[in-house]
Amino acid sequence: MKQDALRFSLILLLVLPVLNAFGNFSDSTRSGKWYVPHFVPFQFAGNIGFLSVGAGYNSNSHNYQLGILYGYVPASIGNAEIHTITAKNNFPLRRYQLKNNQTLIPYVGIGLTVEVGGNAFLAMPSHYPDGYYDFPKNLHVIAYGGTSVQHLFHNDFRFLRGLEFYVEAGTVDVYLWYKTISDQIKFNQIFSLALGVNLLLHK
Amino acid sequence: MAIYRNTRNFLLILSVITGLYACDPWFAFSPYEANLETGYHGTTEKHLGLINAGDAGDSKPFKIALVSDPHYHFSKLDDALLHINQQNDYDFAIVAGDLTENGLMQEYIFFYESMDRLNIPYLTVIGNHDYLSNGEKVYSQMYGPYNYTFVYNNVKFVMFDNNTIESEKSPDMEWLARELVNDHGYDHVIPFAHIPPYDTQMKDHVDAFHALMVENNIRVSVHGHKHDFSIEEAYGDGVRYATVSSPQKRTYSELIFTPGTIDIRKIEY
Repeated sequence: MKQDALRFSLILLLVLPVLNAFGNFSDSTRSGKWYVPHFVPFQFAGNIGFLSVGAGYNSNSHNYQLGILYGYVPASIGNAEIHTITAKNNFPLRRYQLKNNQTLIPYVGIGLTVEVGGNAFLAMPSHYPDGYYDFPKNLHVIAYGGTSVQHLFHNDFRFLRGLEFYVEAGTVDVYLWYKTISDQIKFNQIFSLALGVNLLLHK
Repeated sequence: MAIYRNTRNFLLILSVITGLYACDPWFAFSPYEANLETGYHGTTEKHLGLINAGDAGDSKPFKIALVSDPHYHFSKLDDALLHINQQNDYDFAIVAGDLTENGLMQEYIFFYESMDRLNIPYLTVIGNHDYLSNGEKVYSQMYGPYNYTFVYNNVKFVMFDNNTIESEKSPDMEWLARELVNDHGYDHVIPFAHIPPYDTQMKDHVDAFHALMVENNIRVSVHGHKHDFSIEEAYGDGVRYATVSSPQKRTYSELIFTPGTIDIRKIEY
């Protein structure tokens, strides 16, 4: 199906640079193990959970950020309990120095989100006839753009060197596809907001 | 601050803020959430109220429009609905399932908003795709029960959920057996279910389903799922199984009832 082919292409486009970027995270100035995150993101909404939390990494050149987040929607809010794992790839566009310890950073991003343990499936359940669906239903590409304000503390806390607050507007692959094929669907119906804060950890 | 010295950046930020403010809903937690806003709830009940208001209460010829399997073909569905509106002689419409592609709440909302352009009330049966994700929860909020009946101009409509694979359940054949009995002198009893009985999804139930048709002298059973218009006497015993086309084929169907006949036609637009 056209929709699934588009999603598959987007995911390929997404996954390949991410895999490549993993090679660029080894920071020689950084003590500790490679997997110790540079920041800890907390996010509200944004199609990846009611609340999401995870680990974030900056590339050496600071022109790319990777966030791996676990997202949760309780049944009392979503009318279904939902668990997701999401890879968010942020690409900062500019850096505006607001004060000597505050920076405003507009960015765009693309991510891959997977629902785990829900009704949507990655591999077709065994009771489905062969070839019934040609693409997983629990996998979505998300696209978003936003702005963050990074605030570095003058007096460092033990683990925390600053906070980065962000707001972003994003959509999901299928919604974007539907917008392209229907004039009746409005942009404001396919985009929604996310709010978040990154706890910036010491190098 | 530097940023405000730059008019272009200021306008950009202003337009972004305006754009963000317009998001509807402001916050979305997951494509799989199923907490539909109450304004979309109870559509079947609301539309049955409108249909009942037009019921003659006795035998009277009438026509209804049939659409099936819109999935994500929103523009083509809109064209079909426009054509149905222009005919101005259908009493109501039925959508024979697969209202959505993935059962996502936002897909249900897009479908609902397309159908809102119809000038006549409509009813639905749930399709196999509508069960995907948490779709069955959204369906039951937006529309209501999966199985229900109503009577219009002395014809009994039996709306039946016979999906088996995505729903992971068996069709309620006992309910169907009870509801197909013509115990009130109806001109016709006519079932609507998304899956035609000869499809894989019904392989364990085809014999029982067809036996009920024969036993209750059902003349036409209406389905979707195949995306093409068809009408065939699949088992050579007078029971006609019809499938209604998807709007992707730029066709819909109409059912014409008289006290003695049921005629089903393909409409191309």
